[in-house]
Amino acid sequence: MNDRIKEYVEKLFLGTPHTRQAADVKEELLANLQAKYEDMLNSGKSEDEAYTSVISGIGDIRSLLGETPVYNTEAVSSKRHTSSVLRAVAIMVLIFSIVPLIVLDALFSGTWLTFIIPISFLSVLAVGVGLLVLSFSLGPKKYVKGDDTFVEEYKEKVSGNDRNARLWSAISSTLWITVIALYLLIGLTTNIWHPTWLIFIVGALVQNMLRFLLKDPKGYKKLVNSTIWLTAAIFYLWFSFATLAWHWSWIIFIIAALVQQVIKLIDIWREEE
Amino acid sequence: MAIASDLIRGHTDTIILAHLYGSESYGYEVNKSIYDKSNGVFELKEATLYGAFRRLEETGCITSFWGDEATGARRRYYRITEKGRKQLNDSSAEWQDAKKLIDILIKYEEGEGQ
Repeated sequence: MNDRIKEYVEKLFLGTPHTRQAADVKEELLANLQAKYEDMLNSGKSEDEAYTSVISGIGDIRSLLGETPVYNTEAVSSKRHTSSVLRAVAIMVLIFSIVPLIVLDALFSGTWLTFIIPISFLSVLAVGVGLLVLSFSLGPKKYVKGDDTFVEEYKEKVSGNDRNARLWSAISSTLWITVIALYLLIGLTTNIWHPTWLIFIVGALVQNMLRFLLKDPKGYKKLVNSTIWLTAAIFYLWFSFATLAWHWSWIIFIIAALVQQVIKLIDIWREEE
Repeated sequence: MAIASDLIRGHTDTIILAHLYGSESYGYEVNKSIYDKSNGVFELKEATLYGAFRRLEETGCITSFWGDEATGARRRYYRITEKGRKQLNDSSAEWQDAKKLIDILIKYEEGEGQ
Protein backbone atom coordinates (compact mmCIF):
# COMPACT_ATOMS: atom_id res chain seq x y z
CA MET A 1 0.00 0.00 0.00
CA ASN A 2 1.56 3.23 -1.10
CA ASP A 3 1.96 5.44 1.94
CA ARG A 4 1.64 8.72 0.10
CA ILE A 5 -1.72 7.73 -1.30
CA LYS A 6 -2.90 6.46 2.06
CA GLU A 7 -1.83 9.71 3.72
CA TYR A 8 -3.65 11.74 1.10
CA VAL A 9 -6.89 9.80 1.57
CA GLU A 10 -6.69 10.10 5.35
CA LYS A 11 -6.39 13.86 4.97
CA LEU A 12 -9.27 13.86 2.53
CA PHE A 13 -11.52 12.19 5.07
CA LEU A 14 -10.66 14.55 7.93
CA GLY A 15 -13.71 16.19 9.40
CA THR A 16 -16.16 13.84 7.75
CA PRO A 17 -18.71 11.95 9.83
CA HIS A 18 -17.39 8.71 11.36
CA THR A 19 -19.99 6.39 9.97
CA ARG A 20 -19.63 2.84 8.79
CA GLN A 21 -20.66 3.99 5.36
CA ALA A 22 -17.77 6.47 5.27
CA ALA A 23 -15.34 3.80 6.46
CA ASP A 24 -16.52 1.49 3.67
CA VAL A 25 -16.07 4.18 1.04
CA LYS A 26 -12.58 4.91 2.37
CA GLU A 27 -11.57 1.27 2.20
CA GLU A 28 -13.00 0.81 -1.31
CA LEU A 29 -11.30 3.99 -2.47
CA LEU A 30 -7.91 2.93 -1.10
CA ALA A 31 -8.15 -0.48 -2.78
CA ASN A 32 -9.07 1.02 -6.15
CA LEU A 33 -6.43 3.74 -5.96
CA GLN A 34 -3.83 1.16 -5.11
CA ALA A 35 -4.86 -1.00 -8.06
CA LYS A 36 -4.68 1.99 -10.39
CA TYR A 37 -1.30 3.03 -9.01
CA GLU A 38 0.20 -0.41 -9.57
CA ASP A 39 -1.30 -0.52 -13.06
CA MET A 40 0.34 2.77 -13.96
CA LEU A 41 3.70 1.67 -12.60
CA ASN A 42 3.45 -1.50 -14.66
CA SER A 43 2.75 0.48 -17.80
CA GLY A 44 5.97 2.39 -17.32
CA LYS A 45 4.90 5.54 -15.52
CA SER A 46 7.16 6.96 -12.86
CA GLU A 47 6.08 6.95 -9.22
CA ASP A 48 5.37 10.64 -9.27
CA GLU A 49 3.38 10.48 -12.49
CA ALA A 50 1.38 7.55 -11.19
CA TYR A 51 0.70 9.29 -7.90
CA THR A 52 -0.47 12.51 -9.53
CA SER A 53 -2.65 10.66 -11.99
CA VAL A 54 -4.24 8.56 -9.25
CA ILE A 55 -4.92 11.52 -6.98
CA SER A 56 -6.37 13.68 -9.72
CA GLY A 57 -8.82 10.94 -10.59
CA ILE A 58 -10.55 10.93 -7.24
CA GLY A 59 -13.13 13.65 -7.76
CA ASP A 60 -15.52 15.02 -5.18
CA ILE A 61 -15.59 12.15 -2.72
CA ARG A 62 -16.73 14.19 0.26
CA SER A 63 -20.15 14.96 -1.15
CA LEU A 64 -20.73 11.21 -1.25
CA LEU A 65 -20.43 10.97 2.48
CA GLY A 66 -23.56 12.95 3.22
CA GLU A 67 -21.82 15.66 5.17
CA THR A 68 -24.10 17.69 7.37
CA PRO A 69 -24.47 21.14 5.87
CA VAL A 70 -23.26 24.06 7.92
CA TYR A 71 -26.27 25.85 9.31
CA ASN A 72 -26.41 29.59 9.63
CA THR A 73 -26.24 29.84 13.41
CA GLU A 74 -27.97 33.18 13.48
CA ALA A 75 -30.97 31.89 11.58
CA VAL A 76 -31.09 28.83 13.83
CA SER A 77 -31.11 30.74 17.09
CA SER A 78 -33.79 33.16 15.90
CA LYS A 79 -35.97 30.28 14.78
CA ARG A 80 -35.54 28.62 18.15
CA HIS A 81 -36.48 31.85 19.85
CA THR A 82 -39.63 32.17 17.80
CA SER A 83 -40.65 28.62 18.52
CA SER A 84 -40.25 29.00 22.31
CA VAL A 85 -42.16 32.27 22.33
CA LEU A 86 -44.85 30.64 20.25
CA ARG A 87 -45.00 27.69 22.59
CA ALA A 88 -45.35 29.94 25.63
CA VAL A 89 -48.13 31.90 23.98
CA ALA A 90 -49.86 28.69 22.96
CA ILE A 91 -49.88 27.37 26.51
CA MET A 92 -51.14 30.69 27.85
CA VAL A 93 -53.98 30.64 25.36
CA LEU A 94 -54.86 27.08 26.32
CA ILE A 95 -55.00 27.92 30.00
CA PHE A 96 -57.08 31.02 29.35
CA SER A 97 -59.54 29.09 27.21
CA ILE A 98 -61.41 28.25 30.41
CA VAL A 99 -62.10 31.95 30.98
CA PRO A 100 -64.58 32.53 28.16
CA LEU A 101 -66.23 29.32 29.20
CA ILE A 102 -66.87 30.49 32.75
CA VAL A 103 -67.65 34.08 31.89
CA LEU A 104 -70.03 33.29 29.09
CA ASP A 105 -71.64 30.56 31.15
CA ALA A 106 -72.44 33.12 33.85
CA LEU A 107 -73.79 35.52 31.27
CA PHE A 108 -75.65 33.33 28.85
CA SER A 109 -76.57 30.02 30.41
CA GLY A 110 -80.29 29.57 30.38
CA THR A 111 -80.77 32.01 27.53
CA TRP A 112 -81.06 31.11 23.90
CA LEU A 113 -77.47 32.18 23.40
CA THR A 114 -76.15 29.12 25.26
CA PHE A 115 -74.58 27.82 22.07
CA ILE A 116 -72.00 30.61 22.27
CA ILE A 117 -70.41 28.97 25.29
CA PRO A 118 -69.08 25.75 23.73
CA ILE A 119 -68.27 27.49 20.45
CA SER A 120 -66.11 30.18 21.98
CA PHE A 121 -64.44 27.73 24.31
CA LEU A 122 -63.58 25.36 21.48
CA SER A 123 -62.40 28.19 19.25
CA VAL A 124 -59.96 29.49 21.83
CA LEU A 125 -58.89 25.92 22.48
CA ALA A 126 -58.36 25.33 18.76
CA VAL A 127 -56.23 28.45 18.48
CA GLY A 128 -54.12 27.37 21.44
CA VAL A 129 -53.61 23.86 20.17
CA GLY A 130 -52.85 25.11 16.69
CA LEU A 131 -50.17 27.45 18.01
CA LEU A 132 -48.70 24.67 20.09
CA VAL A 133 -48.40 22.29 17.18
CA LEU A 134 -46.96 25.08 15.05
CA SER A 135 -44.32 25.82 17.66
CA PHE A 136 -43.17 22.22 17.51
CA SER A 137 -42.78 22.26 13.76
CA LEU A 138 -40.60 25.36 14.00
CA GLY A 139 -38.03 23.60 16.17
CA PRO A 140 -34.72 23.76 14.33
CA LYS A 141 -32.65 20.66 13.63
CA LYS A 142 -29.77 20.40 15.98
CA TYR A 143 -28.28 17.25 14.53
CA VAL A 144 -28.93 15.53 11.28
CA LYS A 145 -27.82 11.94 11.04
CA GLY A 146 -25.11 11.49 8.49
CA ASP A 147 -25.94 7.92 7.67
CA ASP A 148 -28.50 5.25 8.18
CA THR A 149 -26.52 3.37 10.79
CA PHE A 150 -28.14 2.87 14.15
CA VAL A 151 -25.34 4.88 15.75
CA GLU A 152 -26.38 7.96 13.84
CA GLU A 153 -30.04 7.37 14.61
CA TYR A 154 -29.26 7.15 18.30
CA LYS A 155 -27.23 10.37 18.20
CA GLU A 156 -30.10 12.09 16.48
CA LYS A 157 -32.60 10.93 19.09
CA VAL A 158 -30.37 11.92 21.98
CA SER A 159 -29.90 15.43 20.64
CA GLY A 160 -33.63 15.79 20.98
CA ASN A 161 -34.58 16.70 17.48
CA ASP A 162 -35.74 13.41 16.08
CA ARG A 163 -38.66 14.48 13.99
CA ASN A 164 -40.76 11.55 15.07
CA ALA A 165 -40.18 12.32 18.75
CA ARG A 166 -41.23 15.94 18.26
CA LEU A 167 -44.23 14.98 16.21
CA TRP A 168 -45.19 12.49 18.87
CA SER A 169 -45.04 15.07 21.70
CA ALA A 170 -47.11 17.47 19.65
CA ILE A 171 -49.72 14.83 18.92
CA SER A 172 -49.80 13.53 22.50
CA SER A 173 -50.28 16.96 23.99
CA THR A 174 -52.94 17.78 21.44
CA LEU A 175 -54.76 14.57 22.23
CA TRP A 176 -54.81 14.99 26.00
CA ILE A 177 -55.70 18.66 25.87
CA THR A 178 -58.59 17.81 23.61
CA VAL A 179 -59.71 15.03 25.94
CA ILE A 180 -59.60 17.30 28.99
CA ALA A 181 -61.37 20.05 27.09
CA LEU A 182 -64.15 17.77 25.92
CA TYR A 183 -64.55 16.31 29.38
CA LEU A 184 -64.89 19.75 30.96
CA LEU A 185 -67.16 20.93 28.21
CA ILE A 186 -69.56 18.05 28.46
CA GLY A 187 -69.45 18.08 32.24
CA LEU A 188 -70.03 21.80 32.63
CA THR A 189 -72.79 22.09 30.10
CA THR A 190 -74.73 18.94 30.87
CA ASN A 191 -73.59 18.17 34.41
CA ILE A 192 -73.32 14.53 33.44
CA TRP A 193 -69.91 13.88 34.94
CA HIS A 194 -70.52 10.24 35.54
CA PRO A 195 -70.08 8.22 32.40
CA THR A 196 -68.25 11.13 30.77
CA TRP A 197 -65.05 10.22 32.58
CA LEU A 198 -64.86 7.30 30.18
CA ILE A 199 -63.51 9.80 27.71
CA PHE A 200 -60.17 9.46 29.42
CA ILE A 201 -60.15 5.73 28.72
CA VAL A 202 -60.98 6.43 25.12
CA GLY A 203 -58.15 8.96 25.10
CA ALA A 204 -55.71 6.34 26.35
CA LEU A 205 -56.91 3.93 23.67
CA VAL A 206 -56.49 6.57 21.00
CA GLN A 207 -53.02 7.42 22.24
CA ASN A 208 -51.89 3.80 22.10
CA MET A 209 -53.20 3.49 18.63
CA LEU A 210 -51.40 6.64 17.61
CA ARG A 211 -48.26 5.25 19.20
CA PHE A 212 -48.45 2.26 16.91
CA LEU A 213 -49.20 4.53 14.02
CA LEU A 214 -46.09 6.63 14.42
CA LYS A 215 -43.62 3.82 15.20
CA ASP A 216 -44.44 2.29 11.89
CA PRO A 217 -43.74 4.23 8.73
CA LYS A 218 -46.21 2.05 6.91
CA GLY A 219 -49.02 3.89 8.64
CA TYR A 220 -51.94 2.56 6.70
CA LYS A 221 -51.96 -0.93 8.12
CA LYS A 222 -51.79 0.37 11.65
CA LEU A 223 -54.41 2.96 10.94
CA VAL A 224 -56.81 0.24 9.92
CA ASN A 225 -56.08 -1.70 13.09
CA SER A 226 -56.54 1.29 15.37
CA THR A 227 -59.80 2.19 13.69
CA ILE A 228 -61.06 -1.31 14.31
CA TRP A 229 -60.19 -1.20 17.98
CA LEU A 230 -61.47 2.29 18.59
CA THR A 231 -64.72 1.43 16.92
CA ALA A 232 -64.90 -1.71 19.02
CA ALA A 233 -64.28 0.27 22.21
CA ILE A 234 -66.88 2.87 21.35
CA PHE A 235 -69.44 0.28 20.39
CA TYR A 236 -68.73 -1.64 23.54
CA LEU A 237 -69.24 1.33 25.80
CA TRP A 238 -72.27 2.64 23.98
CA PHE A 239 -73.87 -0.76 23.73
CA SER A 240 -73.19 -1.59 27.35
CA PHE A 241 -74.62 1.67 28.62
CA ALA A 242 -77.64 1.31 26.43
CA THR A 243 -78.46 -2.25 27.34
CA LEU A 244 -76.57 -2.51 30.64
CA ALA A 245 -75.57 -5.98 29.47
CA TRP A 246 -71.93 -5.64 30.49
CA HIS A 247 -71.51 -9.34 30.95
CA TRP A 248 -71.68 -10.30 27.32
CA SER A 249 -71.14 -7.13 25.31
CA TRP A 250 -67.40 -7.74 25.67
CA ILE A 251 -67.88 -10.18 22.80
CA ILE A 252 -67.46 -7.10 20.66
CA PHE A 253 -63.75 -7.26 21.35
CA ILE A 254 -63.58 -10.82 20.11
CA ILE A 255 -65.33 -9.73 16.94
CA ALA A 256 -62.82 -6.91 16.61
CA ALA A 257 -59.90 -9.32 16.95
CA LEU A 258 -61.48 -11.50 14.28
CA VAL A 259 -61.89 -8.58 11.90
CA GLN A 260 -58.29 -7.59 12.51
CA GLN A 261 -57.05 -11.10 11.67
CA VAL A 262 -59.13 -11.22 8.53
CA ILE A 263 -57.68 -7.94 7.36
CA LYS A 264 -54.17 -9.16 8.16
CA LEU A 265 -54.79 -12.28 6.06
CA ILE A 266 -56.09 -10.19 3.19
CA ASP A 267 -52.95 -8.02 3.40
CA ILE A 268 -50.60 -11.01 3.32
CA TRP A 269 -52.51 -12.49 0.41
CA ARG A 270 -52.31 -9.20 -1.44
CA GLU A 271 -48.59 -8.88 -0.73
CA GLU A 272 -47.91 -12.22 -2.32
CA GLU A 273 -49.48 -11.18 -5.57
CA MET B 1 -15.60 16.40 -27.33
CA ALA B 2 -17.16 18.41 -24.51
CA ILE B 3 -20.75 17.77 -25.55
CA ALA B 4 -20.13 14.07 -25.97
CA SER B 5 -18.72 13.89 -22.45
CA ASP B 6 -21.94 15.24 -20.99
CA LEU B 7 -24.02 12.93 -23.09
CA ILE B 8 -22.01 9.95 -21.99
CA ARG B 9 -22.09 10.96 -18.35
CA GLY B 10 -25.85 10.81 -18.44
CA HIS B 11 -25.61 7.11 -19.22
CA THR B 12 -23.06 6.21 -16.55
CA ASP B 13 -25.42 3.84 -14.77
CA THR B 14 -26.25 1.96 -17.96
CA ILE B 15 -22.57 1.77 -18.92
CA ILE B 16 -21.71 0.25 -15.57
CA LEU B 17 -24.55 -2.26 -15.81
CA ALA B 18 -23.32 -3.25 -19.25
CA HIS B 19 -19.88 -3.90 -17.90
CA LEU B 20 -21.25 -6.00 -15.06
CA TYR B 21 -23.57 -7.94 -17.31
CA GLY B 22 -21.05 -10.59 -18.18
CA SER B 23 -19.26 -10.92 -14.86
CA GLU B 24 -18.86 -9.31 -11.48
CA SER B 25 -16.20 -6.68 -11.05
CA TYR B 26 -14.76 -4.05 -8.75
CA GLY B 27 -14.38 -0.27 -8.95
CA TYR B 28 -11.03 0.16 -10.66
CA GLU B 29 -11.64 -2.64 -13.14
CA VAL B 30 -14.92 -1.05 -14.24
CA ASN B 31 -13.28 2.34 -14.55
CA LYS B 32 -10.33 0.95 -16.50
CA SER B 33 -12.58 -0.91 -18.90
CA ILE B 34 -14.60 2.21 -19.66
CA TYR B 35 -11.40 4.19 -20.16
CA ASP B 36 -9.90 1.60 -22.49
CA LYS B 37 -13.08 1.01 -24.48
CA SER B 38 -13.46 4.73 -25.08
CA ASN B 39 -9.79 5.01 -26.07
CA GLY B 40 -9.03 7.31 -23.22
CA VAL B 41 -11.81 9.76 -24.09
CA PHE B 42 -14.06 8.95 -21.19
CA GLU B 43 -12.58 8.72 -17.73
CA LEU B 44 -14.83 8.57 -14.68
CA LYS B 45 -13.80 10.07 -11.39
CA GLU B 46 -13.82 7.67 -8.44
CA ALA B 47 -16.50 9.74 -6.74
CA THR B 48 -18.78 9.61 -9.77
CA LEU B 49 -18.27 5.87 -9.99
CA TYR B 50 -19.13 5.26 -6.36
CA GLY B 51 -22.16 7.50 -6.64
CA ALA B 52 -23.38 5.39 -9.53
CA PHE B 53 -22.66 2.16 -7.66
CA ARG B 54 -24.67 3.39 -4.71
CA ARG B 55 -27.60 4.46 -6.89
CA LEU B 56 -27.64 1.15 -8.66
CA GLU B 57 -27.45 -0.76 -5.41
CA GLU B 58 -30.22 1.30 -3.85
CA THR B 59 -32.53 0.50 -6.75
CA GLY B 60 -31.63 -3.17 -6.54
CA CYS B 61 -29.87 -3.37 -9.90
CA ILE B 62 -26.62 -4.59 -8.39
CA THR B 63 -25.42 -6.14 -5.17
CA SER B 64 -22.05 -5.71 -3.54
CA PHE B 65 -19.73 -7.80 -1.41
CA TRP B 66 -16.21 -7.54 -0.06
CA GLY B 67 -13.54 -9.62 -1.69
CA ASP B 68 -10.91 -11.79 0.00
CA GLU B 69 -7.72 -10.06 -0.98
CA ALA B 70 -4.44 -11.67 -0.02
CA THR B 71 -2.76 -8.35 0.63
CA GLY B 72 -3.77 -4.75 0.93
CA ALA B 73 -7.17 -3.17 1.38
CA ARG B 74 -10.28 -5.21 0.63
CA ARG B 75 -11.90 -4.68 -2.73
CA ARG B 76 -15.60 -4.09 -3.07
CA TYR B 77 -17.11 -6.24 -5.80
CA TYR B 78 -20.36 -5.65 -7.59
CA ARG B 79 -22.64 -8.13 -9.25
CA ILE B 80 -25.61 -7.42 -11.48
CA THR B 81 -29.07 -8.67 -10.47
CA GLU B 82 -32.04 -9.82 -12.50
CA LYS B 83 -33.54 -6.42 -12.03
CA GLY B 84 -30.29 -4.91 -13.24
CA ARG B 85 -30.31 -6.99 -16.41
CA LYS B 86 -33.83 -5.92 -17.13
CA GLN B 87 -32.93 -2.30 -16.45
CA LEU B 88 -30.01 -2.58 -18.82
CA ASN B 89 -32.22 -3.90 -21.58
CA ASP B 90 -34.76 -1.16 -21.00
CA SER B 91 -32.13 1.57 -20.96
CA SER B 92 -30.48 0.22 -24.11
CA ALA B 93 -33.78 0.18 -25.92
CA GLU B 94 -34.49 3.71 -24.75
CA TRP B 95 -31.12 4.85 -26.02
CA GLN B 96 -31.73 3.24 -29.42
CA ASP B 97 -35.06 5.03 -29.70
CA ALA B 98 -33.55 8.33 -28.63
CA LYS B 99 -30.70 7.90 -31.09
CA LYS B 100 -33.11 7.30 -33.98
CA LEU B 101 -35.22 10.27 -33.02
CA ILE B 102 -32.31 12.66 -32.69
CA ASP B 103 -30.90 11.53 -36.01
CA ILE B 104 -34.21 12.34 -37.65
CA LEU B 105 -34.54 15.68 -35.94
CA ILE B 106 -31.08 17.00 -36.66
CA LYS B 107 -31.08 15.94 -40.27
CA TYR B 108 -30.68 18.77 -42.70
CA GLU B 109 -30.16 19.05 -46.39
CA GLU B 110 -28.16 21.59 -48.24
CA GLY B 111 -30.09 24.14 -50.22
CA GLU B 112 -33.46 23.72 -48.54
CA GLY B 113 -35.60 26.66 -47.60
CA GLN B 114 -33.72 29.13 -49.77
